[in-house]
Amino acid sequence: MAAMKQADLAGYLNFPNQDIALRCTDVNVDYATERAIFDCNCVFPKNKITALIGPSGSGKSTLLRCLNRMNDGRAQVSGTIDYEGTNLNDQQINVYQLRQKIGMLFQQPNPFARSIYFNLAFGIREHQAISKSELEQRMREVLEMVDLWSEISGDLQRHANHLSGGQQQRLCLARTLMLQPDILLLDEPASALDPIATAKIEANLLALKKDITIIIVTHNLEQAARISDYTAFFYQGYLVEYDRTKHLFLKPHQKLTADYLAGNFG
Amino acid sequence: MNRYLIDRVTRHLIQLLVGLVVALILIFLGYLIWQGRHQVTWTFLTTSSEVGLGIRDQLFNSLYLLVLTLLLSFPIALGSAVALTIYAKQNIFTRLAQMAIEVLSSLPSIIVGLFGFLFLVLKVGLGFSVLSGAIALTFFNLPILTQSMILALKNVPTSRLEAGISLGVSQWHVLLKVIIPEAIPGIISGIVLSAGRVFGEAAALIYTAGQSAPQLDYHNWNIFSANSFLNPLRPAETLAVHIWKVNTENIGIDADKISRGAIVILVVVVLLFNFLARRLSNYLQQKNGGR
Amino acid sequence: MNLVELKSPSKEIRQDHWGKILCYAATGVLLLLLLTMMYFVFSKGIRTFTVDGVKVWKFLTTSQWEPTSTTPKVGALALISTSFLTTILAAVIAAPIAIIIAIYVVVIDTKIGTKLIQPIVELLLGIPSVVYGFVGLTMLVPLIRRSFGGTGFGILAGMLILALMILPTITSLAIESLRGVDRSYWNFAYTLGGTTWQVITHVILKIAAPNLIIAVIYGIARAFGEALAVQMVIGNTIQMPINLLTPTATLTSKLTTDIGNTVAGTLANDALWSLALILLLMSLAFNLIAKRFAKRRVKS
Repeated sequence: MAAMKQADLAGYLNFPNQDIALRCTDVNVDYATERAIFDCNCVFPKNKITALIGPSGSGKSTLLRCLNRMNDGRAQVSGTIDYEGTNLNDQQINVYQLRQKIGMLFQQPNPFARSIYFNLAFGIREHQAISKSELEQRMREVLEMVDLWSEISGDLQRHANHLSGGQQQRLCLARTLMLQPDILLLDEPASALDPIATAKIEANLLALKKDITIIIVTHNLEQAARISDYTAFFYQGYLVEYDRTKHLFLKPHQKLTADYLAGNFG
Repeated sequence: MNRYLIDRVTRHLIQLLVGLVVALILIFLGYLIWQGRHQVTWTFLTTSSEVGLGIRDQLFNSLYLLVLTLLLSFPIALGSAVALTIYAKQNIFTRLAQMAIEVLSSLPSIIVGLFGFLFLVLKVGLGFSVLSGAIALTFFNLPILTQSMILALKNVPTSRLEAGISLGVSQWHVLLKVIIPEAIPGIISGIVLSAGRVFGEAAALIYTAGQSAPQLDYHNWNIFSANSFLNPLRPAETLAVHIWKVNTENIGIDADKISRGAIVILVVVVLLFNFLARRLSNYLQQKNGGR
Repeated sequence: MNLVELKSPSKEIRQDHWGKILCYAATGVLLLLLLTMMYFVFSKGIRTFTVDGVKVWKFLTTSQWEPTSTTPKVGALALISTSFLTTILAAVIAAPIAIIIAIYVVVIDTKIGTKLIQPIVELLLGIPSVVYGFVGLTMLVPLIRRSFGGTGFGILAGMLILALMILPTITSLAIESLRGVDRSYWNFAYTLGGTTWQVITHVILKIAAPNLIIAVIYGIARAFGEALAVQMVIGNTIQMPINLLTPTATLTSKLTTDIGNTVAGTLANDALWSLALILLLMSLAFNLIAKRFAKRRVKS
């Protein structure tokens, strides 16, 4: 199977460099026994939502985790991932600084088993000195961004475990927003949630994209179609097709993509 | 039909046998506490064995050794548990460490005692002392404590670590501020459980902490003074060792009275520790179940 | 955000660096501990053969223990066989009872079993060995003396006390192994019309067998290494274990009574360290055997 070359991509998308948040060039990912990503070349446009789709084991989550170095210590990543003129896959990169700029939300809601206050304060207090009033101001802002402020009636001392699954996931979203990231990586953030909770998260993401570049891995094709501007289809470690979401869903160029979208496998 | 009869008969036989064994165990435990009830008096608890019928110094020694042992073994156990659960990439080092824990945990405590005698008492020259005893007990305690620390840490979902790391926080601070605080009920339950074992251990101590309990001065805070209760280099016979000693050396007619009283204390303390540990782990389960 | 900031060091790097060092150091201490312990016991234990010139074979197959006589003899056969005999008899008594309790807890009445029976049996786990020794000495030994004559000290008293001591160990592990049997197997057997007893004997016990054996091995390992409780009731006279009622001695009881009464560097002392070495090697062997069974279970 041929991986898409940068040249092919250019056929679909012509971004000026300043509109690109992340650019992957020849990215390969190896686990101890097998290769998970083969020669991936792609770009993630700024202030857009890009969806990564594909069957289980296609490598989409693996690629996502490369983008803020969460694969460190689990897999060998080669190639360059350009972020603001720097290769973030460089061993010299301070991953702690990087992850503040590129946040992540996971499949299962994973709030710390403490108060909402602790959840929101933990990250930022590790990184900067911030006054209590400023901190609480920021908490309120991010909780309003994810529509949680009114639901908890401003009670920051409430235990995170007492929230519903959807609320917990939005709290986790708020937790990453506390650090004011440039880019947000989401690994099937709604797969453990019911449709209503999912709709709320999606609404949050659409509202957030004016400030943040969003890259979302999803199994849910309708979700990709609903919220994303661009879609990348992965299969067995290869990036098969990458296009504007509308184009990819309506007029896929590859037969594999068409089969997948038609539900013929995966 | 025949097999239904067999089923019914065996079921009743099993119930009968289990009932019998449990009754025997309860009688045994009840007897341990009942048999010495007359011995346990305030005088008994506060008299030095050097001057009368009492176990004051042995009781203190047991507690002192327990505290020192926990102080020594806790950081090592927690550190190893973290290395093996959080940092562990499966490599030769961690595999060896895991093997070491298994081997150490099934090592007879008399071997630990003999090693302590050879190494600490003779080679290092600590003599029969509180310190020798505490270090030997640390050897004895480490594998169990490490195992329960590992269990406690594994009970905290790994997603917490990922969440913390993804915020750009160091693994170390996620550990200190999120993972370990969340594991605390499990950690305490492990400590309490091991405390019960340490408190009752004798074989590892008879040739390390020694078999004599010099009369202690509880107002002497100078740890270098020979009769100070805090002096770590004085011999320190514990309660369990005392029971063993008076029964094997037949120090006269008081042996029986002393051991009966001492056993009540020993058993009550140990059962109390076990009860506490169980309560804690139940609490933990409920907390996890409610999530 | 620029290149400089993303490559500049921060306190997090330092924290993880030191955190790792600290934790690995703790693990190192643990490893070092085991290695030193093995080294010391080993180097002391082989002196009997390397320095004092006793033949290993002779040490293992003769049973006279007179290290201080003019023609010194050290033979550990009596001690070794007594240790094995006492231990195995204890397991023979304790294992069936433990497995029956486990069956009760896991299959027959789960509610009473887990809420009441298991906690009560596990209370025994915490009881210190000197307490078992004391009960053996003050109740069991006189009882045996009255019922069967003799001094009351001996293998019978030793094995009964050991059986009581390892009962909770085996029971806990047996309960775990029965619980490990996949429910679908027994449900399947029930739907075929099997009675509970048939399901227990034909399905559950058969599937759990390797784990039950591991449970018993751990019980035996604990009994083999137990020192004080045995030493208090066994009589401490070196003799071949020909009779359950005559006083004898085990590896651990000999070590307990004598190590403080010998002078380092003499044959009497070296020979005792050889006993300790045997004990250490047996403990390792039990571990290995249990591992073997654990592997077999994974395969099947």
